[in-house]
Amino acid sequence: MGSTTAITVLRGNPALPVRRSEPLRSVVAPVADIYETETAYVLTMDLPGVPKESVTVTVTGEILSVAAENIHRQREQSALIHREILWNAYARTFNLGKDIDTSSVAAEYADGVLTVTLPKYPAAQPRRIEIN
Amino acid sequence: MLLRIDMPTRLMDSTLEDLFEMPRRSTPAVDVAEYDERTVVVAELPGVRKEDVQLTFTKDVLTITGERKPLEIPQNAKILVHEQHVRSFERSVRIGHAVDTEAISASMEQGMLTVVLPKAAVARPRTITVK
Repeated sequence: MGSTTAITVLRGNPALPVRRSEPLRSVVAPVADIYETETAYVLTMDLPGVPKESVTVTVTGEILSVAAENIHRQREQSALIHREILWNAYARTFNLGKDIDTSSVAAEYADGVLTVTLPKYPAAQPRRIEIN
Repeated sequence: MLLRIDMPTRLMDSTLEDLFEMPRRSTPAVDVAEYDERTVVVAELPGVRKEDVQLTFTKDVLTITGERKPLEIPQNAKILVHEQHVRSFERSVRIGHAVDTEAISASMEQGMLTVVLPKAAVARPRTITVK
């Protein structure tokens, strides 16, 4: 990540909105891609098997938290004869920095991928200056 | 257990050139559940559209192959974090019972592929009444 990056990936997780109904379940950090345009940062994250309703995107101050619960696993538990898919909860936190307009963060979920668009404040966007 | 999962041997017999070729073909994680009348294979395929998945069943092996289309990024965008490298994938699962191949069905939901393989009549359990 370059020095100009406003988003930093945090390792620790201060406050997770994940339900702790089953004590032995682990929380995994899903893989993420982030790109920056002139007007926004766009974050995409793999959250397979998660119903849209269970995805929580929260912005607290400069911290963006994404959490999701995989409920798919309830279904075929007893008949499983081979198991590789980790039926975990997902959680990951990002530090947004100061140039993001946290009031207009938008999120959508499709095909198991969450996309979060984080618009920059107009003051943080590059401005073209006309030469007279 | 009748089922066997085939892990790709590609890495073993690959040349150096293959190893450094990016991106490498990935192997999605699978869960397999067996019921009296069917076996259900679930594969984790986030970001993959159903039209980009191919399924074949040959003899007793179900093979899942396909492609994950790269993210559409605006031209002037700068990539800050790049962790997702899956482009193409392949996975095979050997099914340990006779399958009614005509009745195999598959669906995609929330990035999860579900393949239902109904057992052929001979492979279904039959209850015998003691007279």
